[in-house]
Amino acid sequence: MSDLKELLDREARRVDGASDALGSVLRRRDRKRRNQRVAAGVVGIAVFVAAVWIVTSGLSFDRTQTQVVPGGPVTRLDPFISIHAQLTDDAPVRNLFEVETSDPQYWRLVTLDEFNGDEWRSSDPDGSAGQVTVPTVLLPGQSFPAGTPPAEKFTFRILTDFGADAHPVPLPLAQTPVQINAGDLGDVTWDPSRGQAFVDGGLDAGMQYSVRSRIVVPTAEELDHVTDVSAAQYGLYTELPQDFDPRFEQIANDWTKGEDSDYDKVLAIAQHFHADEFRYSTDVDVPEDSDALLTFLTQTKIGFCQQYATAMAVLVRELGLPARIAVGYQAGTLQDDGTYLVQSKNAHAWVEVFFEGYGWLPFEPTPGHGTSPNAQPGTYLNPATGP
Amino acid sequence: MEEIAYGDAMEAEQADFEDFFRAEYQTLLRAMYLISGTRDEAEELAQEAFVKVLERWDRVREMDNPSGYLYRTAVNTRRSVARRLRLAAQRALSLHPPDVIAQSDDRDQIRRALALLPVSQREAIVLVVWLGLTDAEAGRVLGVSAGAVRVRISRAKASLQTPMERSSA
Repeated sequence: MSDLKELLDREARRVDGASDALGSVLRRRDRKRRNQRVAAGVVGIAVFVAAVWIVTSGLSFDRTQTQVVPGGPVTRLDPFISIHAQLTDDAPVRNLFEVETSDPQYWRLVTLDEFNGDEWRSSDPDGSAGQVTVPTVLLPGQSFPAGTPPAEKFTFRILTDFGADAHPVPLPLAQTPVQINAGDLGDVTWDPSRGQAFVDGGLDAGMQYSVRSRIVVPTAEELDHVTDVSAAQYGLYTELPQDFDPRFEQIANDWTKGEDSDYDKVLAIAQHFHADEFRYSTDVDVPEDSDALLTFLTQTKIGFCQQYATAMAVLVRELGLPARIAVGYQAGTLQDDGTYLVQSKNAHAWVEVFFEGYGWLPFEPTPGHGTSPNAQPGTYLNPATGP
Repeated sequence: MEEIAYGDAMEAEQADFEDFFRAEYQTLLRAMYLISGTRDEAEELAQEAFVKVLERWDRVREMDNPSGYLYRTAVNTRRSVARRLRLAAQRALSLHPPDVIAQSDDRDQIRRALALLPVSQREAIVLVVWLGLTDAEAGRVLGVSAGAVRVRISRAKASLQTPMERSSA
C-alpha cells in the first residue's frame, strides 16, 4: 500500500502550481461576475424567459464553450427565447423533458420576486443564493401543515440540451421539494426561500433526476382563517415602487370589494381574469412598462400568461399580501407510457401568494389555462365555496 | 462608518480566502492531475473549483470542512466537463472519444496503470490512498457511500497489482 502511495506521490510531483495561480483565479471570478451581470439584465428584459434555463447559460464567453458541432445542424437553442417566443403559433414545438408521476403538477423553474414598476425580475437569476448540497440530499426544511400528504416521487428525464457551459441552470421541480436525487447531475444548489434549484454545467439530453415533493393543497375553509400574513417576514414580497401609479391600488380595491378574507380577495383577483371580458392570445405586444400594464387591465384585456401573471402579482401586492411570479411549465401531455411530455409550448408563468402556515400557493390568472393540476373542487384554486 | 467596517470585513474575507488558496491549491492541482491525467486539465479544474469556492466564500468559510467542499466542487466540475466533451465528441464523430491518458505514450507504469482504471476508481484511489481521506470523507466528496468507496478501492488495487509488481520488479 505504501508503495502505491509513494508511486502516486512521485507522479503527482510532476505538477507544480504556477506562481500566479491565485491572480488567475481572481481574474476569472471577476470575468464571471461581469458576465453574470449581463445575464441578470437579460433576464429582466425578457421577463418570462422560460428560457432562463437557456439565457443564463447562453451568455458565456468562457473558453470551455464547445457548442459548435461540426458536420451537422447546430442544435443550440437561441438564448433569447422568451415564453412569448415559445408560445406563438408558428414557434417550433420542442420536446423538453418527460416526467414520470401519477400526479402531474406545474413544473417550476425560477421565481420572479422583484417588481421595478415596469417588469418582474429575478433577484437571483443564477441561483447563487442557493445552499450548496451534495448530489442526493434531504432539502432543508420548510414545515408542512398537518394533513399534508406524504411526499410523492417525480422522475424527470431531460430530452434536449440546456446550457452548455459552466453557468448554473435551474431544474424543473414540483413544488415543494423535500428531496432531490440528482443522479449524475453533480452539485445541486437549493434556495428554499425562492424555491429554486440550480445545477452547474448544463443539462444534457438523456439525463435523469428525481425529486420528492409534498404538494400542499389546503381547503378554502382553512385558507379563510389565515389572516395577518406576517408582513415583517415577507415584507420584501409586498414591495412596490414608491411612486407607482395609484390607479393600480384603485383597481385592486375595486376588484376585491366586499371580500372578507385575504384568501377571498386573492381569489377574486384571479377569477376576475377568468371573467368574460379578458381573453387569451399570444398575438399581442409584450408590455414593457406600467402604462402598457394599465392599458391591458383597463382597455385591451387581451394577452397571455405574461400579462396575466404580471398584473395579478402587482394587484395582490397592492393589497399588502406577499406575491411573486413562478416561471416554468404546465403539466404537459400524458403519453402512452404514462409519463408526461413537456414541450416548449407548455412554457408558462403563474402567481404565487404566501399564506402563513401553508407557504407559497399557486394561483392561475390566465384565462383558458384553468387546468392547474391542483384545481380540483374544494381546493384553493377551485374552491367549492359554501353558501 | 458602516461602509468602512463593511470594507474591512470584505478584506478579511478575501485574506481568509487567500490563505485557504495557498494551503490547498498545490495539493488540489496534483490530485486533479492524478485523476485527469493532464496538466492543463488539472489546472483548469483546480482553478475553476477555486473560482466557484470564491463566489460562495462567505458560506464556504463557515463550513466545518471547506476543503471537502473544494474537492467535491473540483470532482463535479470534472464530471460536467467530461460529460460535455463526451457528448460533443459523440455527436461529431459518433464515437467514444479516446481517453486522453490512455493515449499517452509515456512509459511511466503508474500513469498508464491509472489511465486504465475507470475514473470512479481513480477518484477513490487518489482521495483515499494519495490524499489520505477516510472512506467516509471520500464518499462525501464523491457523493457515494463509504462502502462504495471501499469497493472502488479494492477493485482498483486488484487492477493495479499486476502493473505495480512489474514496475517494482
